[in-house]
Amino acid sequence: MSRISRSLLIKKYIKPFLFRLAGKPGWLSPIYALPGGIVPAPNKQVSLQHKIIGMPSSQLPLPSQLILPLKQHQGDDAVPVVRPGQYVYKRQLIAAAHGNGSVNLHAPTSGFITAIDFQLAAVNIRPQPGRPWHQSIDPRQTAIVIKTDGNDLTDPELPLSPLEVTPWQQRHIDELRQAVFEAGICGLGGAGFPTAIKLSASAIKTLIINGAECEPYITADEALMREYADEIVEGSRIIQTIVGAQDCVIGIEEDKHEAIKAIQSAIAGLESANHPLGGLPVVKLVLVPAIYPSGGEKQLIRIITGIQPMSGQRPSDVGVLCHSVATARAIFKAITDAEPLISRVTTLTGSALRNPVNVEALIGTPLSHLLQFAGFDPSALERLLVGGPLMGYVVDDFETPLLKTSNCLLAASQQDIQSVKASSVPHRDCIRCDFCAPVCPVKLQPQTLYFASRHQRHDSAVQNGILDCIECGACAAVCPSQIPLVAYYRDEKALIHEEADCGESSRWQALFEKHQQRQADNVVAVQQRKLEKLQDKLVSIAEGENPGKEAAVESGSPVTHKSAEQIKSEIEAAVARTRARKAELLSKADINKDGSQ
Amino acid sequence: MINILGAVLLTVALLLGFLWCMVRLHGGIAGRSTLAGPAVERINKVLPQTQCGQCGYAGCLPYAQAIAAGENINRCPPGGSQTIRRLAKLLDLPEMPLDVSHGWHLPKRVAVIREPECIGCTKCIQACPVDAIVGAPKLMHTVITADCTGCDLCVDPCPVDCIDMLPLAVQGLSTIRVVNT
Ligand code: SF4
Ligand code: SF4
Ligand code: SF4
Ligand code: SF4
Repeated sequence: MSRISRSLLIKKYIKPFLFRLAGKPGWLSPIYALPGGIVPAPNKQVSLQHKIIGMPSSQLPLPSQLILPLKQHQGDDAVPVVRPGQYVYKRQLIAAAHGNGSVNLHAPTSGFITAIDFQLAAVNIRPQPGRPWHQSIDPRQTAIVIKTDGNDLTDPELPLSPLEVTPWQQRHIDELRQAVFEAGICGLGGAGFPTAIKLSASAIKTLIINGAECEPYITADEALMREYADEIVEGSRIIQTIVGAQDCVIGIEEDKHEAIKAIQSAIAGLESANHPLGGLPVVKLVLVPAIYPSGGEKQLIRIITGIQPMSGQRPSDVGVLCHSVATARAIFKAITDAEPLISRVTTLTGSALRNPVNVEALIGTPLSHLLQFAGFDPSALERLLVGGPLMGYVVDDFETPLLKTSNCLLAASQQDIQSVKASSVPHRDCIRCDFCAPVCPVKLQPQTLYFASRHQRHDSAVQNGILDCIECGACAAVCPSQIPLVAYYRDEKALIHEEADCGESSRWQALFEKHQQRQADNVVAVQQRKLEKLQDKLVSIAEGENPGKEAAVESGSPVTHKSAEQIKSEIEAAVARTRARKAELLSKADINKDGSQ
Repeated sequence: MINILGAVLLTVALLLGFLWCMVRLHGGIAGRSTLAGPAVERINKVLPQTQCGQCGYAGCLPYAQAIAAGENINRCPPGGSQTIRRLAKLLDLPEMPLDVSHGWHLPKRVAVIREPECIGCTKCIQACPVDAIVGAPKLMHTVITADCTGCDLCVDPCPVDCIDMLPLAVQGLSTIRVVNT
């Protein structure tokens, strides 16, 4: 603990201060310290040995099928606009945004649509007994399955070919925003918020491009900055133009030296070129301490601007907008090449892979295809995570597809998991050591949240700010009892949202209770009515009428030969039967009521 | 002197040990068998309220009562692994896989009546546990999609097989079916 605290202190306060005094580039503007945070082992070098490998290429061929869930983002599902059996070209729209916060989905390559259905292969995940608590990706989604034909054909009649695209500086802002919407871009950093919605924010003062990829193992953004710095910087300027921000800041963690150099030279190139904003240094580089989780959206905003968005506020409410470098590049490609979001850079890493590397893979590629490419060794695997070791989701089914938000595929061995202290042994009880509170970047009290979540006390969880928890996992990483705190929080948040959003199950419960009540009442009421009818008849017989006569005449059958006496005794027997039945039902209903209370 | 001190210490230790045993024992007994009303309510809250009866009980509440009395927590297919995990957490039990002999976990579906084919027999109305079907004798019936829990109970009673269970996400696109090529 103490060693971590000391290095934290140096990184947070002393180093930025000294570097700023010394006038080092990138440290010139003041930065603000992040509360909490940890310094986990970065483990990043392994996947940065090679350049990004594209797909399809000679090394990384197309998979035989792509699985594209309709929901790759926050918000409503996209709606399919293709039919099974149809041939689709690369870049063709296959599902259109529909409803709230939905985004378009395009075919990443050419081929035939084989199914639009639930991916049953991924449905029957069986949790293994004795596994620790952690939440898995829920892959039970409607998805479009494309059987690739290997030709990677683009529609020759596609309305916009890359060559015809007008330079973005000459296009109207609304047109640019529309292009981003049509390209189906959502935040590539992990949360998957539709980018077009973010871009329609007004009164933005500062635009922050997030290159502070702070979670261990993940290097997708870093590789992207090394190799596509120009595109990122250009993309940042497009975003800046769209939202009309005065400042544009690219924030990078100080230990990504090569990425910093690349971005610096890209910015220098931009400044020397003659650009429409009048030669002002519009894009600025700011280095931030390599502390986890400085790359969280609100955390980076706080470090760079000193502004802390309040609970429930979006950054745009305080005049700041934050996009990841990967999103900036996706926007660049959408605007300058008219290329929808059909691929993304993702890190394949972990000790269970022989060749860790960054790949630019098509959305929808089954994870097994990527694992195989990177030299997967199943015997070394402890668990497969999409995302990093601290915030990632466990995946049970290797045929789960790569999503727009999947920035890393961590085939973790026991040793990888140990290195971030997320052990797979069942956790022990909370000893109230309070190691967790000082590392929380949101200044929450993790142990209180833990007890609230564990006992599903929603009120207490909400009061203690569970909805502001960014699920960074810093608390879980320092917990000596190895409690997977984030898994508890995720479950609790899901429960809270479920109850707040739809209240579906409680409504069903109420409907069911009403139904039961009505049924019970009904049965008794029917018997009551029968009884009354029979009694009426008895009365009328006593008054000397023949009850059979009318009915017989009406139906045209021969007149009944039963005497009035016979009929009377039959009716009396029926009345007795009905009474008995009613009594029995009533007593049963009482028993039921007792039983359910 | 030492003997007396030893005896006192021993007594104290024994006493503490006894108390500890009592506490443990009590905790153990109080484990699940004595879970009273509020516990049943909390268990019931975790269950999906589909009211399908696949668990072998007449609905979610009876199953909640059964769980409180010691029944396995892995019998509810509509809830799937998510519900099992939540139950396990709530009751401090080990997670276990879904007992698929009660059915597979499938994504949420809703009943849709092919209306031109409906003969108005009212049999599905009687089967629906949440009154999600409206109709009158010999007149067309239809499902209130928002109320339908997807329990499947109306499908079998229909004499003309005009009820489909369709995934919620492709509502209105009922022509889409899997084509396995
Ligand atoms: S996971 Fe949540 S509670 Fe834990 S340190 Fe991060 S923000 Fe705080
Ligand atoms: S670090 Fe773990 S054991 Fe310590 S108080 Fe927090 S949750 Fe409890
Ligand atoms: S199987 Fe699940 S949803 Fe169906 S009645 Fe039983 S508890 Fe309710
Ligand atoms: S309509 Fe059918 S599937 Fe839906 S809740 Fe009623 S009985 Fe169940």
